[in-house]
Amino acid sequence: MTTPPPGTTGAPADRDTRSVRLAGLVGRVADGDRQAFEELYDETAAIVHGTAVRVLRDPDLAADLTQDVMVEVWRTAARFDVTRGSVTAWVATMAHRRAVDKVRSVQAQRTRDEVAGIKDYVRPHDDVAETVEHSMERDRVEGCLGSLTDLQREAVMSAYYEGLTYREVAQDRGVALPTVKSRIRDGLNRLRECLGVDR
Amino acid sequence: MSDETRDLLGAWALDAVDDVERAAVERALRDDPQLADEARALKETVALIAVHGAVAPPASLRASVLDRIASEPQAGTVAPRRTTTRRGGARWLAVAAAFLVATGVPTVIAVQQSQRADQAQQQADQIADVLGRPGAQVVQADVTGGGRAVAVIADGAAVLTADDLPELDRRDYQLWVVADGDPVSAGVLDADGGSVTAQVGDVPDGSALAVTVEPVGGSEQPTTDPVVVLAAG
Repeated sequence: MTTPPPGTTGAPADRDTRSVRLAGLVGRVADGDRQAFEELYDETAAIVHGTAVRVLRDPDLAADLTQDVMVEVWRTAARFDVTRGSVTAWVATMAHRRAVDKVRSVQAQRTRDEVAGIKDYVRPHDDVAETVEHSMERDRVEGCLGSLTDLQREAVMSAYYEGLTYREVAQDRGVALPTVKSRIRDGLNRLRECLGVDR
Repeated sequence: MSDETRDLLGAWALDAVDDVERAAVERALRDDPQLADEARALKETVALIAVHGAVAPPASLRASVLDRIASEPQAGTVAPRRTTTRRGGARWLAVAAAFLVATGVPTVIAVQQSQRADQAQQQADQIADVLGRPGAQVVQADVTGGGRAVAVIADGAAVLTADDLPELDRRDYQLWVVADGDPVSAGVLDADGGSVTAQVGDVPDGSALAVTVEPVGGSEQPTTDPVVVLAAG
């Protein structure tokens, strides 16, 4: 572990700065500003694509999904409500829901490599063209993921990146349902505190 | 709210629950602001996992997306109007105003929705524009599940308004232009407060308008039966 967890002293300033900037961009996109959309694309498309690639594990499907989600961001920007969460959460939620819907609808879980999701998340991200803020955030998450127990981290990451329900995680790993639920809940709460996400 | 539902909050934030459980959690969130705050914080946390896992998309994708948005209308905003189709502006504006009154389309809600003072004017302009086209017809129908929809359909364009639509839970109303039985998406409808207004600029002759209930963000093709279909007679 190279990055110490930043503790529970609230959101880091760079995250707040980014949130405000992205919300401003979405406001301009809602007014049909294409220049603002290009900036927003550069800030968020990698988040969408990372989610799509990891959940779908198919470069073509992932590219299609990324494209669809980014067009949806353009289309529905007027409906973004900053009081309900950040732009990052809005975009990430949209991407993940779509990816998971796709995976579940084709029942592809069984044919996919079950451990790939876990391996993927520790893989270096040299291919990410990113802002300084983005890179700081990534380092923080890396550090905080390391503060979870192995079992918590495995439960959270496999639920997220394999598109599994917690029931499927339990079945897959041969673990009792309440155990999986508490690993996910405790793991996410620890991550939240470590990352300084306020309630 | 039950401890069982609270227990599911983490799995819910990761989309790791089934549809029934998701509905139960989201019902609980509506009734419990404190729980809703906790849920929001967990969603933000999960989003940071996604930031951590970011992967740059293929460079060619950027151009494809920009290309697509060039012709993609935005929900809750006004599509660019073809000025050549506007004629007799003042007269049609009067007709539009009468239409708004006659069909009970609440301009008050339109203003609240968009927080734009000129929204009512834009809405009237949209309707005037379509009413001014050859073959304009007004058609109306009840919406399955509640509410009423009214559309002006003319050569090349249509305006749809609907009121008293039921609130959807993690679903969106999506509008389709159906020509020769082939639905083409006209976008997700912004149904805050149960009212929608949408203008469609690309309506082939003889098309119908249909509204379906779709997963959040809409679908490529309809995944459910329409709750209303409006066709020019």
